[in-house]
Amino acid sequence: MADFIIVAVIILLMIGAGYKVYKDRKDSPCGCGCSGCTQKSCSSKRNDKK
Amino acid sequence: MGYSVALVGNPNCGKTTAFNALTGSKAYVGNWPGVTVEKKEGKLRGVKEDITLVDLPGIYSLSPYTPEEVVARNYIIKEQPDLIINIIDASNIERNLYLTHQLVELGRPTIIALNMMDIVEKRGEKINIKRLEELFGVKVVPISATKNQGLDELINLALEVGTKKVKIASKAIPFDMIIEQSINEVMILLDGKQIDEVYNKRWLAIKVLEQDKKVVEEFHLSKEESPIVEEAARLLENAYDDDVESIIINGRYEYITKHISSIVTNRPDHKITLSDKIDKVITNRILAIPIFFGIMWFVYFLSIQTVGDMTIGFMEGLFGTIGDQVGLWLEGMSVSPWIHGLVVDGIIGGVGAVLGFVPQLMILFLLIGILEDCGYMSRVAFIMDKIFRKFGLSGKSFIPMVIGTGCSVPGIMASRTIESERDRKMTIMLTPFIPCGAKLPVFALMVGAFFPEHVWVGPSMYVLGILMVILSGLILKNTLFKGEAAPYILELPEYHIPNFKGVMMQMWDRSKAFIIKAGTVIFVASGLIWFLQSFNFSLQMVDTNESMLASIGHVIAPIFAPLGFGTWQASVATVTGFLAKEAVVATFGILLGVGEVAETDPTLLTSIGQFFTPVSAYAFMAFTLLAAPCFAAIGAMKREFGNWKWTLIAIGYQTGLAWIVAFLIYQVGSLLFK
Repeated sequence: MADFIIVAVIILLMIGAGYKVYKDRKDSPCGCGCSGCTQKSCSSKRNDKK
Repeated sequence: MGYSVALVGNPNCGKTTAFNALTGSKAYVGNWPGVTVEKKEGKLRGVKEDITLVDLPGIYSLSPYTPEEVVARNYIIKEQPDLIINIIDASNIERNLYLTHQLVELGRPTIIALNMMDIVEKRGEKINIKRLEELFGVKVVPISATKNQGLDELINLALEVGTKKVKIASKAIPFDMIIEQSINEVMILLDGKQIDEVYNKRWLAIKVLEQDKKVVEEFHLSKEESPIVEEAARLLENAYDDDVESIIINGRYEYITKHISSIVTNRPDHKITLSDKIDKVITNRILAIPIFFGIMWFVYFLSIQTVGDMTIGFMEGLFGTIGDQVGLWLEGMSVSPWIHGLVVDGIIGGVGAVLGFVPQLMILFLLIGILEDCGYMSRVAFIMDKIFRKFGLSGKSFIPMVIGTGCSVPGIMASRTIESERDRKMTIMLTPFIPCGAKLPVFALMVGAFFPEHVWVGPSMYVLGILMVILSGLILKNTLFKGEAAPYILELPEYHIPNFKGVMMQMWDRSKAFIIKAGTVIFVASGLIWFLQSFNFSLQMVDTNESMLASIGHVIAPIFAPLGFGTWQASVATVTGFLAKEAVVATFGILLGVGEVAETDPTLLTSIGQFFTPVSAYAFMAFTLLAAPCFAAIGAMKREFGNWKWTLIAIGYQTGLAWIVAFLIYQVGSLLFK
């Protein structure tokens, strides 16, 4: 039972992570979601809504 | 009903600062021209009306030569904003008015926001607002966006225009008689043509006369009409002994020069500013490059060598302890050994290995942010232009590469500012050669493990990247990209003390992006890598050396053997770099089982010594630097090239060059440092 729960949690986390990467890339014009982005007009920053 | 307001102005006129102040946006101010490639929108704050502000790219004119200029003028003409706010840098008013002269010709309601008035006042200069209004036929509002001065008046005027309480119509500024005669002849011709009413006829007549590329594409003149335009152009060219475009440009500047003394008074004699004095040293022909490398050395020394040394042990211990505690908790729940392995060795080991570099990367981001914000990076592009031009490249190519030091994806996209197709393709191909943020943990790992006393190793990756850009320029200009590099005009803004808040926010944003990537891409990659290294193809749990990953590694290892890292572990780590370069570190973390720490357990830095020697470690760094970038960057290259053919050529070139360079480093290095 513990095995099942932990595997389920990990799979859900991985699906969530994959979705976040997909959403970040879709939302930003450069499609980056990369580490250390210096694009100052990157809209992935603008999407931290005002 | 809502309406739209476009912000138009030269690069570095404070347009984005004004945009931020008017909308409360978090967009940052950059010191380089061409930073804003796309237009930005925001709602005007503090008013109940629905007013959308559009921040157009910084432009010097409305010519058809650069993508930013085309974006700006197409927006103004085709989308017809209700109001144009022309932001002018009052401390450089003469140059800025050239764009104003063209904007009023478009016939759209325009007002001038005279920015940086605080600098003008400090200099003791006076600007005659009424005179400026008379000469350009527009309302002028003095502001200082950084000090939040004059913005309320600007907003009120924008509101009055929007709600039609104040009518504003731009007036055409006359050229001299001969030029006006030619313009009138073309205007008469256009009267007989079916033209979309979005176009101002006078503006269109001037563009037809200039043979503006975009206008000519859109409006085809008939066989009867062309001779009339040619005759009007010939009249001008004979009178001025110059081409029409230059005549019009000179006409605009003459108008401004003629009247500038009545606009700006109390002008001090030109003094050499502090920025000029600093630039005498920073951009000196002999000192510039050594200074640049010296600064980069210092940045790496402080971040990777100093902070890195202090924090890497702590971070490894921290994640090791987390791994231990989680392991104990899982054992308490009596989970299967493979789940224990997945969580502790896979996920915590992989993600922890990457997150261990966060402290030193934060310092690195902070220092690079300071260099950007103070104005130094513009100078780097200027310095590089001189060198690049000798090898078939333009300094304009260096701007995307500087952006690429954060991430190659926006760097590759910034190549859109390059109008020459040849230069643009070369830039896309070569931008990934400059170390991006994701490659830094790989370098930090190798430097920490093999070169702890040698502070030149980290910065040498930048030197190697630039050398490869130059070498590639030489190779490619004689093969795939024959021809000369386009000329480059670059504005060097004044140096200023970096804005503390802006730099800290940028450091935080970049660090946050790094941590989020570790929590997403690296998290998934770690799980996958752990699975591949724990199971064989029959899905039985086996020793690492008999796993799927080992089998794959053994197949590709011979490719890397001549480079000095022909073990299956180093080979698969190299390949996982295509997912994300940080995944290289995560892979080593998982393969070396650093998810747990015991007193006798070696750390990642000590364990990695079993796969490399110092020479092969340096070769590995060079390969990681130069080989094809991650999938995200490959996707960006494909978008910018527009096809797979050039993308595959770029991947092949980058990886082939990486292999050759790493091969030379290892083979020659092994002979020299036996």
